[in-house]
Amino acid sequence: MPEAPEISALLTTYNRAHLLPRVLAALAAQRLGHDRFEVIVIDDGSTDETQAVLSSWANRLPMRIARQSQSGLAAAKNLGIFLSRAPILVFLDDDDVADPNLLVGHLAAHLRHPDFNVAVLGHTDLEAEVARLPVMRHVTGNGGQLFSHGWMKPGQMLSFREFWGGRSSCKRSLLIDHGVFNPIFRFGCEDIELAWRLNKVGLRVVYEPSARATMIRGLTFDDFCRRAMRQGRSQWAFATLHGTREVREYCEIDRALVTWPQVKTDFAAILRWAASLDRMMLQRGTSAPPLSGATQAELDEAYSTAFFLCRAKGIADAVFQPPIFRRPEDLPVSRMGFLDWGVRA
Amino acid sequence: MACCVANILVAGIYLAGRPNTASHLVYEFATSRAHRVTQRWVALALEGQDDCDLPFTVSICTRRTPKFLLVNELIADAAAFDWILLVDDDVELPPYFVDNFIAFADRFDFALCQPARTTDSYIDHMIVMQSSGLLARRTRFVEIGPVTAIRRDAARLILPVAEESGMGWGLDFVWPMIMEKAGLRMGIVDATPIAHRMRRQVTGYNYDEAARGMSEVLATNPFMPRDRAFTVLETYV
Repeated sequence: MPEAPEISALLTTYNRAHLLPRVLAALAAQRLGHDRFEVIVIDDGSTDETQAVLSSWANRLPMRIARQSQSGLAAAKNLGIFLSRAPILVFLDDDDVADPNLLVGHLAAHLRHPDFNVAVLGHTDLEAEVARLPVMRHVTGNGGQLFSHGWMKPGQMLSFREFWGGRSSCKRSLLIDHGVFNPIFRFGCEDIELAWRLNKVGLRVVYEPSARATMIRGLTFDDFCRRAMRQGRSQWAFATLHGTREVREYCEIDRALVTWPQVKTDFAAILRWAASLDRMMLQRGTSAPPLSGATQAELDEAYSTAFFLCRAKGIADAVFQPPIFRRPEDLPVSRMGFLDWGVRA
Repeated sequence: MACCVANILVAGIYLAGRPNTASHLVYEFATSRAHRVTQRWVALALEGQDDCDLPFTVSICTRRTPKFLLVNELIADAAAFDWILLVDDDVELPPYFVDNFIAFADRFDFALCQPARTTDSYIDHMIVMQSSGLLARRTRFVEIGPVTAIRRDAARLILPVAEESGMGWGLDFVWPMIMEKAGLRMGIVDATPIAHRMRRQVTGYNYDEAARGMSEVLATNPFMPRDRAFTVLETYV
């Protein structure tokens, strides 16, 4: 392993042993020489064959493997940051297969933009089989709930809102000196919450489509509903943590809290309706003629409504949960609570 | 080593008359079942001598004094102890802290180490934040405070603290050079996190003075740059 790699690829993973061989093979096939990068895999407490798969690849990649008890995505990424040795860090998802140019693309973009506060957003495609799923086409297209690059131009300078997890890179010094992921975010919002804080030091994100990867895992309609509920809970935490109007609007907190009481009795029926449309589209297959504009719009509306309501449910549920974090300023001295630690009598 | 009863010296300074957690700390350190713990505290009483009656208070200081002048007095006989724990007066410890913490330090052969800080703590250097999925990390950085543990062999190398270092800022970038040269290991123990949320750093002393002290320390000693210091070398789960 080189003494000082130029770029560290941080791969966080949980129970994706079946996908890892393709993910790791793609990293082994990078155009960048193995002496110029390192791969750091953080296994977030997988219970499947992840460790065995990783071990079998240990000698084929400049790779280090770290394992932690399951602590969530943010904690895993933080561990990767501090294990890394390169000045550039690229965050990878365990269901994305890197194009051979991925690391070169990120590295070249950073060489063009050496300022500490410029990050790079790569491009993510869907594998053909995944792209055939109507719900995946929606969330990466008209829905925009997942990475949605359609409106971006190569080299375009974007805001902190596009510091998307699993497909962005940045200078290590930016994180070391100005902030790392908040580990209260076990899933969802960990990237935007960090980007929000880094925005104070002028974080900008440049879009570099040559740094390309392909998502190889398709999510079902039910998967996305569950994901949206978890995101809702994280959005509530994000909004509560920072408490600004901008964050509340970004997370659609007020819209969710107004909407949820009005629709919660119809929630299950709305999900059934959207799920039935999704099933119909799946049965229709991809060989059928394209949908008419109006029908496509209705389908998009059904998906968007279902996923928004799932997020709204996550937000509304979180309101009544105990906070998953405390800020020092929330703790008056009178509560300097040794009781917090259960002092013995 | 883990089976041995260690002689541990806890040295701390508390700000008398200001909110602090010193009584909690005194209690927690006194409840060690595995080790012989000696506590020595200095009451820093800048606003009168009220509230200086904490057990194990060995002296009262009524004038603003560089922290490590006071600390050096407390640890003058450091060679008589297996571990020195330097402790600030505004942290909260989990139950059975000292026994568990020293057990992990022994297990991972850390000569210079500290407990990680809870995520709701005030933190300057993010590497010290608790990594909750780990027991401990071998690192190239141990912060000088709020709780720093120095084993006998490390104490010989880094104690007493040079008087001109004032608040000690910058020493934590000098220590890794000394420790690595001596082949000693540094680490952060995640399994025994402490909370540091009562007051921000630099509220009890002058920032400019501390920063000036840091530049002096770094100018006169070989030190490890931040990007290298903030590195985890090994993890333990």
